[in-house]
Amino acid sequence: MDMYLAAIQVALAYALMSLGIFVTLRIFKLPDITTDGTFTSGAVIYALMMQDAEQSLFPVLLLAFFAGGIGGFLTGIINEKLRIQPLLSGILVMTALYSINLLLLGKSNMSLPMLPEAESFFQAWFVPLVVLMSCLGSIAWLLYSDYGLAMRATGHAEQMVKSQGIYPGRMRIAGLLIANGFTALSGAMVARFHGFADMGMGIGIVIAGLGSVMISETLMQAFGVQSLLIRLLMLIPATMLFRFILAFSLSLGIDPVLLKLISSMLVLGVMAIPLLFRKASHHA
Amino acid sequence: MLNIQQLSLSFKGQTGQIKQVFTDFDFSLDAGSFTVVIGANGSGKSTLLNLIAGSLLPDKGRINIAGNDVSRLSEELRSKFISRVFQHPHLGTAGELSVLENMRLASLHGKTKSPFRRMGKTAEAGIKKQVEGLQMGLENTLHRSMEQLSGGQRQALSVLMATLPDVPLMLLDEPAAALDPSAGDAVMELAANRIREKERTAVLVTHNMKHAVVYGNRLVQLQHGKIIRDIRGEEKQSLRPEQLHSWFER
Repeated sequence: MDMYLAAIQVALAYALMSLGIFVTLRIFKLPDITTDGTFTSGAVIYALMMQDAEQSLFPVLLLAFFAGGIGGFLTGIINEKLRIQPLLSGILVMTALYSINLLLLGKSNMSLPMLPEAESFFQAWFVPLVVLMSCLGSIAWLLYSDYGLAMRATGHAEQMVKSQGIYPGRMRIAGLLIANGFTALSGAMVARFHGFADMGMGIGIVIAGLGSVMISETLMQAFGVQSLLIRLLMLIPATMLFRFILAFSLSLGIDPVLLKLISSMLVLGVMAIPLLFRKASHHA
Repeated sequence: MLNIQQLSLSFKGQTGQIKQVFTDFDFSLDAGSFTVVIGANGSGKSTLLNLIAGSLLPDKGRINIAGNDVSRLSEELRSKFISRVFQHPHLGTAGELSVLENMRLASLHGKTKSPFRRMGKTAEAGIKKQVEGLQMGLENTLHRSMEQLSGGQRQALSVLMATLPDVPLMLLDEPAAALDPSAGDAVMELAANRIREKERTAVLVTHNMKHAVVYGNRLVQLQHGKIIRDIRGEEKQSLRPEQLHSWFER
């Protein structure tokens, strides 16, 4: 039972990354792999700032957000100004971030002092929930503003956006900045949950975010819901479900080494099953 | 109102060959005129619209709109002077955004989009009134996403969106081409009415000879980047579609 509770608890941290993936993938239709680097950056910043446990949490989280934001901003600049494909721009920044993260941390992993027992319930549930809901509320508020409308239109009708006087490149840079800010925040919150930062924790993490977004989209289609706000909110149960399935796999005695493989298979399944159902019903 | 001088544009083809689309091209429009541009495929009609809108920058030459030299301005900056209706409704409207949100963006055409401002009830009521004016019942679909509408409904809204901003020039690039004949005619009628009501200077590119005859007060035929016919006034009004078709026969 503890394993499943922990899965839900850590999902509150991972949901921030799902939010970031949603912004790049669904709002801007950008495949962004900077995520793998900025997630670790967030964890590294958290570990460095919190190693003596005296620093207050929120400035550290803010710093993590900005660090991730810089990563996303650089990907956006490389993509827009140097005309390098978004995927390649992301790979370039992600690779560069690996060295920067290692340089900052000084070693491949760092353990952190555990949270004081007396505060554990508050620290374990309330803080991640407040951080997540604040981010979700902020992005929803932004996406429903005039600026947010321009952002959302950029991903779907670039020609229209230009003819309205909106610079799509600037919108994408802003989107990548925000998305990677959320991802770094997620990395910091995950490091906080596990009590350590590791250089390998970001590897392939984009798949976990992608999986949550896909589960959320499948649920939305099943319920026929289109509201942007509900789409954003649905990322939370979708991330929980994703983590829950991984926890279930572990409880079956599956080697943790296979977790990334399971994650990939899960995402593939979520993406393929609706298509297979459609094909089957078409032939029936 | 629009003045194009000595405009030249060339493209490098896939084989590396240079294709000259326009050479020292001159063209001007009077304020309040509605000009229809026809021509065979590759004659330079859509390229001309793209040059005016700033989607393409010329090799040389000047483009002046309402006294402003826009020759080197980006497409985004030229939006202060131009509104557009594209050939496909999905190019001129954002499918995932609601009708209301698309209209809101159009109402902010060329203006700053602030993260601290959003559509209020008054703005929503104003948009509803505008959509009601179409008399297509679309005021009941304001909260539906654009992609749920038919091509004709979406293009009608695209026309409405292009006539909302107070800009001197409106460009229409085959707005009826992607629609069935009935929806295409309805969209063209709507566009012509809106252009007349708002007293806009407009350029329509079309392959539909019936539309070319019925709409506008000037007709220009392009061939290989040159104006080969320029017909105005009563002569324009006396044209017949069959006559225009005969111009394309080889």
